[in-house]
Amino acid sequence: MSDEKEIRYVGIKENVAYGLACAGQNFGYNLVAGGYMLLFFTKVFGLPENAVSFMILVLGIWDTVNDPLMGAVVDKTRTRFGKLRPYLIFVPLPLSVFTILLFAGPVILQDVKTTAIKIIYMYVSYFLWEFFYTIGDIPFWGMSAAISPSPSDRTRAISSARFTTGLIGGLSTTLLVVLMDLSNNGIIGLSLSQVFLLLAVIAATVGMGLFSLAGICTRERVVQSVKEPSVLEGFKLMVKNKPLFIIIISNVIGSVSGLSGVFATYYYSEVIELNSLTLLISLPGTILGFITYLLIPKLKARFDNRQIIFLNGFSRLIVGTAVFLIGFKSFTNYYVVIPLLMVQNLVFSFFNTVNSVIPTEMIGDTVDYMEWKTGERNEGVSFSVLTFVGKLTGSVSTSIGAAILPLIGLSFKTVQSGGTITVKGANTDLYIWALFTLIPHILGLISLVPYIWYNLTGENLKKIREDLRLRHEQLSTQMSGGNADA
Amino acid sequence: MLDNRCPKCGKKLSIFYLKQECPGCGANILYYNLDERLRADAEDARAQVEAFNRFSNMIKTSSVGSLLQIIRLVLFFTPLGSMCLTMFNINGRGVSLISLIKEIIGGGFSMGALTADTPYFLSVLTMVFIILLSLAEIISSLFSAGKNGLKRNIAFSAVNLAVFLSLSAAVLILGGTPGIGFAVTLFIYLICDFLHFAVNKKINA
Repeated sequence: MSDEKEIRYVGIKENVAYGLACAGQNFGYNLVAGGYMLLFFTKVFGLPENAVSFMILVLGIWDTVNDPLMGAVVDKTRTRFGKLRPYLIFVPLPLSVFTILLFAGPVILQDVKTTAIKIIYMYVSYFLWEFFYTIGDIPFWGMSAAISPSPSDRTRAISSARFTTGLIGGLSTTLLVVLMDLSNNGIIGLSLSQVFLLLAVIAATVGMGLFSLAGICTRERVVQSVKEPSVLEGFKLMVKNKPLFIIIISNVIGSVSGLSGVFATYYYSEVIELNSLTLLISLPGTILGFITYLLIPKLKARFDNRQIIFLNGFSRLIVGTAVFLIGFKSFTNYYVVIPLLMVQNLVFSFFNTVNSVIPTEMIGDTVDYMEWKTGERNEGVSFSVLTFVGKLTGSVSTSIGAAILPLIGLSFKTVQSGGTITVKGANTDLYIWALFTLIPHILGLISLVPYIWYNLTGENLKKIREDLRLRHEQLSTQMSGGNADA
Repeated sequence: MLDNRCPKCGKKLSIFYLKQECPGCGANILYYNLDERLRADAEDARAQVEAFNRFSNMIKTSSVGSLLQIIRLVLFFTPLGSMCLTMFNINGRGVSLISLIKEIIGGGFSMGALTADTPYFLSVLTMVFIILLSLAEIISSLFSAGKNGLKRNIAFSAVNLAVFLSLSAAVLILGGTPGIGFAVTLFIYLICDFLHFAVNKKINA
C-alpha cells in the first residue's frame, strides 16, 4: 500500500457523523459546564452555595483520578468492535437518563422540604452524570486517532467535530438564556426548573441520539496490539511519553493566557460598561472562525504543527501589543476600541479555531510515537490527559484572575439596598486593559519553551509513520486467518 | 456499520458477542483481511469525495460561477433594501420595513391592532412573504446548474411574483396606494426573472 498520508480512508459521511456526534455530546455538556450549574443548584434547586461549591470541588478532585483511570480501562479493552467503539455504542442511553435526572431534581423533589435529601440527590445525580460522560468523552476523542492511520483523515475528523460543535453544540446555552428571560418575564408559562428540565430532555434525546452516531457510524482502522496492557502499564506509558509530557506542560503553563478571557469580562462590564458590545466585536471573528476550518489543510501544507504553535504564540503577542499601545490612551473611546478589538478578535478567532484542532491532532501523533517506541497504543490514557488538562487550565486561569483582582484595586461591595457597587483604584482601568490585551500574551510565550524539545515533526514524524505502516501490515497479516496467535 | 457476521466464515454473531475471535473459525474479526477492507474504505471514501465535489461544483457554478450569477445572487438580497423605502401608503401613513421595525422596537406593535387594520395587515404580510419567498428563491438558485434548474427557478420566481402582486393588489383595492418601494421591488423581481434565463444560457454555453 502506498504512503498512508495521501490515502483517504474516512469518507464524508463518517466525518459528518463524527462531527454531529460531537455536537450532540456538547449540547448536553454545555448545560452542565456552560456556567449555569451553580445558578441551577442554588437558585432553582434551592441548595446552599457552600454545599454546591464543595460538591464541585470534591467531584473536581475525583475527575483527576477518574479521567486517567477511564483512559487506562479503555486502552485495556479488546473487542470485535475495537477498544473505543463499545463505550460509544453503550454510553448514550445511560448518559441520556442521567442528564434528565440531573436536571429533574427540582421537579421530582419539589415537595421535599429536607435540604439534606436534596444535597444527596445533587451529589448522586452529578456524580453519575460525570461518570457516564467520562466513559463517553475519552473514547470519543481517542477515536480521532484510531479512526484512520492517515494524518489528514484525523485532521478532517477533528475539524468536523469542532466545526459542528461550534454551530450546534452551543445552542443549549443560547436557548437557556433566552428561555430564562422569557420565563422570568412571564412570557412563557414555564418555571425555571421546567426550562432546565426541557433543555435536559432535548439534550438527552436529540443530543444523545446524535452522540450515538459516534459508535454506530465510525470505525477503528488502526491495529492495536493483541496483548492488553494492564491499568498500571497504561499509566507508566503516559509518563514515558515525552512528547505528550511536553504538550501537557505547555498547556498548563499556557493557562495564564486564559487571563485574557477572564479580564475581557471585566473590561466590558467595569471599564467600558457595556457587556453586549462583545457580541458586536466578536461578530467578524465568529464568521472567520468557521471559515478557518477550511483553511487548516492549507496552513498544514506550509507549516508543521510545532511551527503553527509558535506562529500562534507570536501572533497573539504582536497583535496584543499593538492593540494595547494603540488603545493606551483611548481604551474607553468606542470609536477607537470597537474597530481595534474587532481586528484583534479576527486574528485571535483564526488561531482559536486552529488551536481547537492542532493540539488534539498532536496528541494522536504522540499515540503513534508511543506505539513506535513500545509497541503499545494508548489513545485512552493520552486523550484522558487532554480532557483533564482542559478542565485544569480553565480552573487555574479563573483562580489566578480572582487572586489578581485586589492587586489591581478592583473590588465589589454590597450596599444596604442589596445591590453591589464597583470600587476601583486610580489605575485599575489601565491594569484591566493590560491584562485583557497584553500581559497574558507575554506570559503565554513561556508556554512555547517546552516545544523547543518537541520533535514529532518533519522527517522524524515521517519515519515513525512509515515504520508503523509496515508494522501494521505485518500485524494485520498475522491476525488474519483462523486461530489467531495471541 | 455494526457488522454482525464473521468476515472469514460468515457466521452470524450476536450483537452482545464482544470477543475478537470468531467462535466458529477463530479468525480475528476486527483485523481479518484488514488491508483489503482498508482498500475498500479508500475506494468508498474516494467515491464519496467525488460525489461531494460534483455537488459543490454545481453549487459554486450556480451561485458564483460568473459575474452574471454573482449579480443575480446579490439582487436576491436587494428587496431588503427596497422594502426600507415606502412600500404602500395607507390612510396617510407610509408602510415600510423600517416603519415596522420602529413600531416593534418602540413597543407600539400588537397583533390585535395589526389584524384589525386589514390593509395594513396585508401590507405587512406582503413584506413577510417577500422575505420568505426570496429565501426560497435563493435556495433554488443554488441548484441552477442541476437538473431542471431553469424550470425550478422560474417556478419559484413565478410564485414569488404572483404572491407579491396578489397581496399588493388586495392592499390597493382596500384603499392603499403604492409607494416607491413597491415599484423598485417589482422591478427587481422582473430583473431576476430575466437573469434566470441569462444565467441558464451562460451555464449551458
